[in-house]
Amino acid sequence: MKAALLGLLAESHVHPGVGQSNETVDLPVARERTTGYPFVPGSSCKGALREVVEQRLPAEAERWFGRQDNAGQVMVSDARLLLLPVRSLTGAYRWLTCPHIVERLVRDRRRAGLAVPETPFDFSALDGKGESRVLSGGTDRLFLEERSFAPAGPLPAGLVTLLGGLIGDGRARARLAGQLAVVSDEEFGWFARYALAVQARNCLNEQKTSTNLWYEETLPPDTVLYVLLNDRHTAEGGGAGGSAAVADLLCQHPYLQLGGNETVGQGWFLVRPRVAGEAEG
Amino acid sequence: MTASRLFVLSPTDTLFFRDGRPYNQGDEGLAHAHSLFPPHPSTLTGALRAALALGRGWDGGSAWGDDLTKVLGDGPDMAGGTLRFGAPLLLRARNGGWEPLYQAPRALVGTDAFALLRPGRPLDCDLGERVRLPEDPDGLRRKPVEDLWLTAAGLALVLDGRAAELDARHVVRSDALWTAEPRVGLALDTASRTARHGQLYAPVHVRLAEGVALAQPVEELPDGWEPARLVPLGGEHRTAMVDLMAEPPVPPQATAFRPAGDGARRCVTLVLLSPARVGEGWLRPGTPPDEGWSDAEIVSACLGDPLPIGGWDSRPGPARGPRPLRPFLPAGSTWFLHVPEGWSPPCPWLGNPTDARHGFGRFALGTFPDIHTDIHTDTGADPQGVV
Repeated sequence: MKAALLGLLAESHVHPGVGQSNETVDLPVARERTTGYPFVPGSSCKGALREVVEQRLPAEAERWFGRQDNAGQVMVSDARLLLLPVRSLTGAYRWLTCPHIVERLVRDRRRAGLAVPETPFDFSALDGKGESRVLSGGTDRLFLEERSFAPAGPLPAGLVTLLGGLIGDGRARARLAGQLAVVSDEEFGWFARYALAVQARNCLNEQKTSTNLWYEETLPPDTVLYVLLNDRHTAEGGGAGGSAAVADLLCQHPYLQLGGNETVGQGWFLVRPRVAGEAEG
Repeated sequence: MTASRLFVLSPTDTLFFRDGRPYNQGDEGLAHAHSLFPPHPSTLTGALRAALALGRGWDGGSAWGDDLTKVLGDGPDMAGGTLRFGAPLLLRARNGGWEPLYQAPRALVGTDAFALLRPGRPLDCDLGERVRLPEDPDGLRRKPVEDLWLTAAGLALVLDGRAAELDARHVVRSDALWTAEPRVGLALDTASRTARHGQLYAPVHVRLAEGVALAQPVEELPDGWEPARLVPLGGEHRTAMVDLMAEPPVPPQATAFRPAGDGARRCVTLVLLSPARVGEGWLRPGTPPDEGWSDAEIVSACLGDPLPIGGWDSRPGPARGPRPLRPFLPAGSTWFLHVPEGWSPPCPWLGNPTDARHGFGRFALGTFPDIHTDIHTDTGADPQGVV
């Protein structure tokens, strides 16, 4: 019974919607209630994975993903946020994260049976007295959106390798050391709530005038999330189980579409599966 | 060797517990379903029994053999098993350990300052003649508390009849413990990639705050039985991590029962810690109909609306499917009893023994001050009048 961790790198904008809201943005993304972090619900991930399996291995779809009167073998968690790309005045964007998210990743890796760092990462340099601080590869002041952060030190050792393991593209992974920035949980919460891309979309009639204007919130390209797959019970015959098999299938076909607006090009992810017990390259 | 232990369930993300009713298709376009929280005891025992079986090597799909059923019992009634579960509770992380939290009794009223309802003067109503309905001790018409949880110290004060001494340290609002998280899902038609008609659903999940977990005590768990770490809990295949701790917390009890009027009898409140299914005789004043309770007399009660509780039989075979809904009185329902000196309850639970194995029907005993024990015929005076 092996668990699998799927790293997801957004190749396009992603819109995991929750229907309409009465606020400024008509179609917001799904957010965790307590933290405000955007996420992709487990039901969306499960549906997308089922679609992939039904196309490539249709015989296994019902056993792994269930039917009306029998639950499936694979349990799919929500896709949790790991790295959020944020606009930076100095140079290209920064991949932002915070100590709480890194702690959750370590707990999820332990739950999946993957290797975890022996000592917890030390983020105490972020405790500034009223000042906004950041840990990053550089030594200059960092400007993210319209906020300014004072450099508080280098990234903890081993963090880049741990986070990079979930990014599927080698060149993108190589950029991580230079573009990763860690801010405190409170500061990150502000970016998670307000720094997502909002696009206006329109519908034109034959006279080329607008009949319907609406605003949609999306996760920007290069956002990194991860999903955990677990087996509900051991497979028949002691085989590897549904989670490991789905991870294996995604190794060969690594693109997955999650969320809405598929036919206008949104929701595409590059998947990097990690199965417990296998070597991590 | 068997022992009393405590199972602690920490959700991985959200939880979803349906109340046995189908998705509400009130709007033709969208089907709504709210999650109830906390879950029924039988939901937790189902998940925990599955976790114990998985920990002993069950593959998750086949029927249980004798080695499992002799401890865990067979089917939703736990037939033939020795395991017994207690009333579920919430835990909050405090000072490196867990602090138990209990639902506020239904007789507790107030918002910033609290008081306990108590039996009023006898009056004639549709329940019969000379019925003593609960009254506010200060003559105000305060509403029963909603969405409030008490620490063990807080519950001890309420059970002792000292609700006026409750302050902010003893009470926790439920929105500090969990929040509702609405979600939207749909089914896609594989051929046309459009939404299937009538398959748009909006479940409302429950997300627990950081450091909050569900727990359920268990008795007669044999040594060496360890649960699987991760178990599906509730609907929508939400999962939770299972930990097994040592001694469960003991719910508080009243320190002494106050005398009733002449002193020969005592005033006892019976507060449900988990839902209970009781006979109709418990819904009226008089002697409770159950065996062994004939010494007690029900004087008054604050009972909640009945909860329909069903369940699911997952054994492969003809029995597989939903179980019929039965009405239960919710946790927090309170009875005011007069009992003889030196009385103790004949049984630690109310209702039938099969339900009790799941943790239904557990209660805590308290006391209340009874000032209207000299029963004279009232000549129409306002029962909420002078105290």
